Amino acid sequence: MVYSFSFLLFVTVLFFAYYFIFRNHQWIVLLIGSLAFYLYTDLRFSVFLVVTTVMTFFGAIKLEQLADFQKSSIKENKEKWTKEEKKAFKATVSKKKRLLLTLIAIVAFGMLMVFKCKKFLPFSWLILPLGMSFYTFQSIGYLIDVYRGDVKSERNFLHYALFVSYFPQIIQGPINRFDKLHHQFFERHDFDFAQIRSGLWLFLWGLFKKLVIADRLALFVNMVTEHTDAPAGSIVVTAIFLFNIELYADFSGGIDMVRGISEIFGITLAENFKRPFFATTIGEYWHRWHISLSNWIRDYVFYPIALSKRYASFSSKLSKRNTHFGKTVPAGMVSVFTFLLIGLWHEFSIAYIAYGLWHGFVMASAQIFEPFFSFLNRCFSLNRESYAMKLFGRARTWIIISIGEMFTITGSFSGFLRLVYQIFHNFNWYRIVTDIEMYSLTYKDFFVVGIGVIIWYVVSVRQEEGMQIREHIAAQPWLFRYLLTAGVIMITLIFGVYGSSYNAADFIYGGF
Amino acid sequence: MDELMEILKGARPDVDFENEEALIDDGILVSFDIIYIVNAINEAFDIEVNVSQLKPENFNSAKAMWEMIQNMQE
Repeated sequence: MVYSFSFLLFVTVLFFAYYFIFRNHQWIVLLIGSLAFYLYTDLRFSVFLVVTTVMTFFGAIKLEQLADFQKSSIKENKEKWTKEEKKAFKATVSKKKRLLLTLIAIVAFGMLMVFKCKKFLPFSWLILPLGMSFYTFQSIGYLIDVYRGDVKSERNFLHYALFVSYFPQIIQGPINRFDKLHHQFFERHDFDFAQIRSGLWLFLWGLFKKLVIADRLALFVNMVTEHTDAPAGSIVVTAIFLFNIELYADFSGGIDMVRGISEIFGITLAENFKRPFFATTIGEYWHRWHISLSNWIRDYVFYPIALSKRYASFSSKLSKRNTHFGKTVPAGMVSVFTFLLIGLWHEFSIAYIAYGLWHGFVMASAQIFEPFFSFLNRCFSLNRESYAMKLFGRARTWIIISIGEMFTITGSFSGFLRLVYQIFHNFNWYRIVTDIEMYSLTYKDFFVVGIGVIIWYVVSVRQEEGMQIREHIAAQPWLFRYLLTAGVIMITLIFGVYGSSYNAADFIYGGF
Repeated sequence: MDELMEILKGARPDVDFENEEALIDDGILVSFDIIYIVNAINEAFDIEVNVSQLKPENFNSAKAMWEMIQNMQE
């Protein structure tokens, strides 16, 4: 159903119900729509969504009750209890809270792991339930927020169910935060033509990236990487280069569509991308790529470990010998661990373990060896802020990302080794020219992709300069706006990749 | 404040902590720096900054960090 004709019909019906029929009960419209969408798309596995929702809903209430009980008991016995008694009582309640949180997290992540590890289990035919990676992380994030006392627990089950199952985000994220998203569902959203139009533009822009760029490149990339006939190394390198563009177009296009649909209903979802290929370092890249996942890992895994007493003592001991190592080595170790988790979030496989470790080691090394890199810069009088150095930084980041993608592009570690072998033993650069049309795409297709990427690049440069593209278009004369909209629709219809054997609704990150 | 400035300079000698107002928003401080700074602050001022307090508004400038420390000490 995802992004098919029936999906558009579904959104249209919901739209009219939301703005014109049930204006006083808009959240109920979204909840019914979300549940209908999920049951229709993934009826068999909706049980996992229900279990996660029920478990985290009641778990959060219990956590809050325990925290309130702790507070009120200490207040009541302020005079009666000694300092030690207070401390012991606090420790007992905190232990109960920690135990409850851990139990729920183990069950929720356990269910997810069964699907992520299916390759190693007897039921490898299982398909990951729609959005499971996203709603599991989102609801556990909420639970931790309540545990920390950062948000109040939601006491209305249906309100909470909407937060977990909201249909645009369930397809492929982003992973939203309770304090940013939840209240929006219960605010009154009046029909606002400018906002709805803006949402439609974002949806259309995402569709353009997905159909014109990503799905066309996918034909080439899939054929090269799945080709058992050993394509030349030069073709492999081209495919990896293009896979970066495909993956970004697919994922960011999908997220634009998701955010666009949500904006039509007046709900703003978390941003997931900030032009990642403008990043000059790998650290900056992770601040721009799949932001909602990397922020989740940072706030709920990296920081808690790095602020623990054991970490502080290790870092402090090292700092006494060398401040820089005290600062970077322990953080680097945690970084490797968190990136390993990011790899496993995608899939429990050697390929994704290698992907996570690669990113973790590069990230840690960049920080640990920073004084050495600064020394080299000084030796060669290199200014990091110069345009040439920024360009170099972007190219270096692109190469690092490409190596990471090589681990996963074929879906197996042996596939990765096959690609490496082809690159180093059978490069044959001239075959870029002679063989390029052997892998599904013609020169005309590459031309279309090239034009699409140039348009996308120009838009990205303006965004980097601070331009709000949609606001800028909205300020133009109506004729220009309509011609532009019609133009993008026409280009997407004419140059989009469709076909019976190729399902445009399949998003790469929808599979995670 | 001097003790805090010493910690900050120790963490990132290249940053102008007297004048920077968007240390987090502009990506000047990365997570490695923040962790080092927080652990050093905890030790130096005998406080316990928790994860919930790692918000841009508390770490965007030396002044904001100092205010957070003072609030926690009260």
